[in-house]
Amino acid sequence: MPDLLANIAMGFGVALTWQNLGLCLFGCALGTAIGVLPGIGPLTTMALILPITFWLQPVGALIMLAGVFYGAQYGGSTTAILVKIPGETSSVVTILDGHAMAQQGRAGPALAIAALGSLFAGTVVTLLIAVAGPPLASVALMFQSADYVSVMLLGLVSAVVLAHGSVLKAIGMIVLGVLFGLVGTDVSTGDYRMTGGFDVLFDGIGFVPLSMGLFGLAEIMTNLEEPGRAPPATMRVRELMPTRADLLRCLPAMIRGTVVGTVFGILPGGGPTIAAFSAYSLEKKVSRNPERFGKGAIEGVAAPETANNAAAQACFIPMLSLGVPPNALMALMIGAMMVHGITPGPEIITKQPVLFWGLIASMWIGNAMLVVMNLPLIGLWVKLLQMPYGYLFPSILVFCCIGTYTLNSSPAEVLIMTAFGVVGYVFRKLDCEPAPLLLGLVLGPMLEENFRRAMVLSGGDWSIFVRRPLSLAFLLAAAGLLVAVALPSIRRSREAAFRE
Amino acid sequence: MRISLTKNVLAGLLFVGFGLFGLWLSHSLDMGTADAMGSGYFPRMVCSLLIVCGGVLAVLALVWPDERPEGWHWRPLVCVTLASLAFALLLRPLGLVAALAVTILLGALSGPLLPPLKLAFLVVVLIAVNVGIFVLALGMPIPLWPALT
Repeated sequence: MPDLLANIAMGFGVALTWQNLGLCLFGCALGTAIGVLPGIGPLTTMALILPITFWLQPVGALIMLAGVFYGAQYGGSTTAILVKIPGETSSVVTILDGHAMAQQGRAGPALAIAALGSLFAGTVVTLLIAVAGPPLASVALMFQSADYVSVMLLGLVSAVVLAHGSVLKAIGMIVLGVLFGLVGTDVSTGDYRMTGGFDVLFDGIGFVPLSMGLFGLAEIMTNLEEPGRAPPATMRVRELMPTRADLLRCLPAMIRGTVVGTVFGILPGGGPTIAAFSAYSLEKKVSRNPERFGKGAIEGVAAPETANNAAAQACFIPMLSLGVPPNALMALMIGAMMVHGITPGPEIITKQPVLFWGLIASMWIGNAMLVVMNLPLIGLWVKLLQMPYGYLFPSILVFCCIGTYTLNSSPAEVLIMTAFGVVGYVFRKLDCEPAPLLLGLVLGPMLEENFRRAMVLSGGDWSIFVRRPLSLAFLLAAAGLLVAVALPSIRRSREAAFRE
Repeated sequence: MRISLTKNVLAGLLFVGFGLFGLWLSHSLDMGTADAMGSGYFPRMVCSLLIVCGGVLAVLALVWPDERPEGWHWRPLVCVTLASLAFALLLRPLGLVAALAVTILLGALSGPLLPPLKLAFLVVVLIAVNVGIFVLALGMPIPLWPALT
């Protein structure tokens, strides 16, 4: 316990330096802004600012990236409540009751409860990471290569199960990501693999050009297909504070939302969106008068908003303690760490304590900042919605180009990005989600390295993966998930969850 | 049976294509054995898996067709692609300012057209911001103007 306190104190010491506070503020503000703007998500934004983070200390870089991610959860709810547009997919369910409340003139309490719920979840989960991270990492230190292979397979399988749309397509996208990850110099033999003789590929397909192309450029192309949006009519915000009765009603919803969100955040392949949906349906199920939902029930705002923020932060637990990213956003964070020369894995907590505890402390500070930023400044964020896309997309385009170029001062990488922009557009047209590909890209090289090492250790005996109990348990869990998704009843409810 | 190129058929074919291309690119890599894998072992595994996956996807979609991909819009695709191509190719010979201007103008063509004055304003602001961030603040060695040779 005293250890924990000392560590948390050290974390605050790191996070409270002027530079890191500024980066946290910048990340949170940027996150809120893109959360408010529909059509640009946290994944794209994090990919866009990745090149800038290379000029920062690793701690500062991660603090800023994390701020964008959870800031987006706050911003998304603002537009959902006020103008019935989900800024982020994770805020789609908030519309149901949040916008209904706004129409009844109770937009203020809805916004306040969304922010307070997020702060509540942020505080609980930050503590949870601080308490659970180190023990989890020490378990992970006992992992051998075979166990790592199995835990990564489990992660990839559940990413497939929780992705929406066709399971086969999601598997294909992950495998394709792994394949892209193999391009470049093979670390164990020094052979150039699948480079086609282009020297720009000797170091592999860069994480930045690939994600900028797939997410930045391709997103512009698809967004431009829709006819121009009319600036939405906005609601006035009068009374801000929720009443005592509101708070009493919301407290249990927030607690349940935090639990649901944490579970879905830790679960590989989970994330804020599915957490928000599940928390909403749970709340409707346990409510004594479910008919109020959809007509402005404040619990219907509190639960999903708490859950999406809890999930956004709980994703960091497997990423920081095992080095295995549970979703594409965390894969991007791992990508950022690797560019800074930090090897992801359970050693991070012991070898990079400043990074780990600083990041955790900054998350708590960031959540507090976001509440301050979101409630009084709400009018400012709503103004942002009126910005026409005609200004926004050339800025994103230019930023993609120059950001990719500056990484290695290489025009060839901009060409790679362009190619992935076209590929990404085709993927979108064919309903292939690009996020699992990113997960495969990051996990691919780790998967190969551990797979080869496991096979060397076992002398080429494949049974190593089922002989080690840990590895066997992970594999069984993965197989169970695959069977479960094939069962008709679960399949139906999964489809229903995505349709809602 | 009429073959209809639905989303799943095309996606399946795309996966098979990438898999075959990967196999072809890695044909000369050493396979090795399971206990001492060469650099070609894992890539071949991954490519084969991708081909199987894409094949099954395509065949299933031929039996139970899904919908066809719709709404291809060429203008955004072509203009955005050209814009970033232009940036890559023009940066070295023309310098950052000119390359940015071309990129922004080409990119702006892909959406609803802004009035000329607003467009000019956007070009100036974006150039100023990017030069400010990358050249002045971060000190990147990017040439600003065409090299005089």
